Amino acid sequence: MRAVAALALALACAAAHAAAFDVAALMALLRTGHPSHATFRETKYIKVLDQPVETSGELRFTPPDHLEKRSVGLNAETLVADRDTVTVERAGRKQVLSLAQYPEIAVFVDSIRGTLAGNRELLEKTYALSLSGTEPRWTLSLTPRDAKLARIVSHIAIQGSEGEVRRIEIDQADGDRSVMAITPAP
Amino acid sequence: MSPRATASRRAVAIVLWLAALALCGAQVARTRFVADLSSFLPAHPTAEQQVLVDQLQHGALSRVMLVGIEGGDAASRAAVSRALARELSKDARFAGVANGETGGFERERELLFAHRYVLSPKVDAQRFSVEGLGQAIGASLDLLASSAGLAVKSLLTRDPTGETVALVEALQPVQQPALVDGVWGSKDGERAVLLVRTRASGADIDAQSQALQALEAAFTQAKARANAAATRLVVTGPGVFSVRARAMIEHDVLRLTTLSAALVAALLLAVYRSPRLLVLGFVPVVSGALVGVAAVSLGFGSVHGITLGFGTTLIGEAVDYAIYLFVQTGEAGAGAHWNERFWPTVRLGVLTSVAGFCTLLASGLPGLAQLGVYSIAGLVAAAAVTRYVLPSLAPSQLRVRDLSSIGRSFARALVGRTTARVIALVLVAGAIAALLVHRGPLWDRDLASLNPITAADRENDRVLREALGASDARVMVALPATDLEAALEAAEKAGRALDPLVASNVLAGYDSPARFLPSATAQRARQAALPEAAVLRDRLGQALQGLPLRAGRLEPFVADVEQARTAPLLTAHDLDGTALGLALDGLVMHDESGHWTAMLGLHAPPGKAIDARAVGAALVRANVPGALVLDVKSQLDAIYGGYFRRTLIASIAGLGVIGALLLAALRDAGRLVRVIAPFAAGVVIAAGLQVALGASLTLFHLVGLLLVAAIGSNYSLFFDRLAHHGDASAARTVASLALANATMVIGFGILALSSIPVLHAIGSTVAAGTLATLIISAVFAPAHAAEPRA
Repeated sequence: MRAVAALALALACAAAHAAAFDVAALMALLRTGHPSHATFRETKYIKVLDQPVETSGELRFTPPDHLEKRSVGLNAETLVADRDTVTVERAGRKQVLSLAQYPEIAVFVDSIRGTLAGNRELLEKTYALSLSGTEPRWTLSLTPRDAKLARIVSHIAIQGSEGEVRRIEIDQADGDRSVMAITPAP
Repeated sequence: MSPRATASRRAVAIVLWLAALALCGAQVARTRFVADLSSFLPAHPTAEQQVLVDQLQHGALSRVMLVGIEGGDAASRAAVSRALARELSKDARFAGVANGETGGFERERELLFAHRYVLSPKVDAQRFSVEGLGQAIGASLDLLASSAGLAVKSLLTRDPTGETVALVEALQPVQQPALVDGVWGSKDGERAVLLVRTRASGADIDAQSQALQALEAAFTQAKARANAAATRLVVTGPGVFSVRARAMIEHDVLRLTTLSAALVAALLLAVYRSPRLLVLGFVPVVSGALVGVAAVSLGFGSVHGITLGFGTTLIGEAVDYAIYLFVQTGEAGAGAHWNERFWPTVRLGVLTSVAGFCTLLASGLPGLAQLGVYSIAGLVAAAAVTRYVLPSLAPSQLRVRDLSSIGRSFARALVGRTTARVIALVLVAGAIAALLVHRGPLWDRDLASLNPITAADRENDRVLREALGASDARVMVALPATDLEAALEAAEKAGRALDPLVASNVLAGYDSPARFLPSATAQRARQAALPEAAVLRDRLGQALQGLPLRAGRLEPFVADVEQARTAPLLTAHDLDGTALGLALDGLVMHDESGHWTAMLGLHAPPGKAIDARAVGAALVRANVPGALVLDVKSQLDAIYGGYFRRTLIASIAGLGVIGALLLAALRDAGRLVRVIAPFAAGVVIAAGLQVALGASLTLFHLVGLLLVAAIGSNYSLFFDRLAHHGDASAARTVASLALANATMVIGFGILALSSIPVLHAIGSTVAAGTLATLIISAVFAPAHAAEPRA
């Protein structure tokens, strides 16, 4: 259903603009307004470790700003970002953080929430955006505008198809990186 | 007696009086006046109460200010909260300010990191075995892979066992307030809240007052800086309440005394129509007040502001003696006649009043005892001055206007009137009914009811405490010790006894000073558990098998451990000026006599109360010497219960003494009943009126009711005298009673305007009760009582 709706919207946009696929068009595709649900598999490549670390679980997003990431298995953890707070529950301990106080966490959370919600304004507050590819297979590149932030993260690449995000790749400034593959839940 | 002998006796009386006044004046001049609330804490506390009283006056709890920011929108409240916190953290008067922002603890983080191997409770031989290292490092790697990974990545090579993370987690408050826009807020999000600690103890009211002013000034600045004109400041806390109570006492005392003196003076002037008589009438009052203050100063070392406020009642009562003298004799100078006929009655009245005020001495509350000493000394002095000095001061030709007409009107309206009797009986029945149908306990047994805190302040305090999660630090464990090291060791031992209770959810957690500064013994034991570099390398090699981390990467860790093994121990001095030192200070106390006390604050699991008995049993099992479990609320209730019982017993004894005095004077059971009945009715009406007006009766009302009996008995005695002995100028006597009661009602009635509970309760009770007693005495007196007979 959603794919159909997204396609219809894309066609409408394409018809309206009769132009190339640009950031505005992508944002319109992403801005479905519906909650979404997906599974993920995240691989972290950390220099100090000899092998990458893998986690998996599910993602839920309710526009405009409620994101849940539940990791399962050995390293089970629940992360809930809601408005301006992040709650992390791990090994029976719960921690509530304010995003205002942890800008380094806020930029990660906002890059994902901003993309899922199609919120161009939010993304452009911290990143320079560039889009490549076509509607069936696009890549959105996020490069930090702020030098302080650039010391933490050098680049974020988000890949997707139509209105769905499929892969988020984060390159950290110290050379560590993480790749999250996303599969929409049935 | 020859006129010359009389004259010389008069001269002696005046000289003695002036000398006494001079001595009292000298004593008053060097008196310290106080207005804190310590006078309403126990004078002779038990060991538990002593710890509690110290806590309430000087402990960490006493230094807390709860701050709320209301009005405006959430964003502007958060901005003001941040600006206020920044402002206060620069101010030396404040030892700490917390608003939920986590930035800025660089020094604390450095301290924790540098001393992690002597601070972390997880450090022992097992932790540094091959197996222990494998587990701890495995857990750190898991954390690294989690969303918190970014925060711990830089620590991994120096702290692979995760001691820093463990320490930070252990120091986190058990319950954190909700975050709204990045700062603490109430659950409904309508207030931003901050927790401020003053450097000065809560008992230092001057310092607390300065801190409060600084806080208000900082808020005004923060508000301007954040451009949030719509926001308002709400501050509560023990020190704040003391400051407000003192201001209230100072304000009330001056206002009430002035008002009372002015009203009584106006009344007397209207009646006497003679300024000279007015001045003479105040001579016993001023003498009594001076003697009273000097007596309190001698007995207690200082005089409480509330005692001075109580002085208005002295105006109301001591002025009566002069009224009796002037009005009953019709002249100011000729005392001999009055001395014979009226003095015995006045003397009996003074004695019954003194018996009443004696109960204040027995209550056990120094604050109430001061009122008792003040009143007793003041009344005795005023009566003596009226009897021995006043007639000599007045020129013998000074005539007092004949007030018989007032007396006659009063008598006509009341004495022996059947309708009035019926109305009085209905009133008494109504009061009894009000007392009987009153729902809930008749007596308020909450110590808080004695505190001069406004209802609005109390409600604000409750809301802020709830928002800050500060409400449940209600149960504490106090551990006596001989020095700091012993206090910390005791805290560690008690902590080990409490850990199982935390594990089984009897407690949500506890605060211990040993978390901030472990005892030297514990630190040495941890150092001893750290292996030498070669041994550690060897164990790491084995422990890291199967983990994605090579031992070679952990050389910084090996170096840090090697250094920690022989590093000097962490001392209290190292923590000075940090949040950690502050937390330690709040939990370890010592007094001038060299006694140390470690305090462990217990936290209740959500929605449950703390089982103080289970805590006590666990401490006994662990054999923690001298441990006291303090349930603040129940201790305070027990303290109040103790006062109440003592006052009740003293009141019953006081009533007994009043009865015995009356019986000794009257020597007739029938007359005794007729004298007692009016003031008994006055007591019932006063109590019923309070209950009917929705007040619950406190210790202070109890005292007030006894005073109704003590003072009211004066009126019924006079009517009894009129009925039995007759009086050639009965109308004058009745007039003097009406006038005396009017001044009494003014004195105590004005006290009822006070917002200080002790003054308000006693004032309203006594004013209503004595008025009722006078009217009932008159109404039930035989019709011939008010007629002139020889």
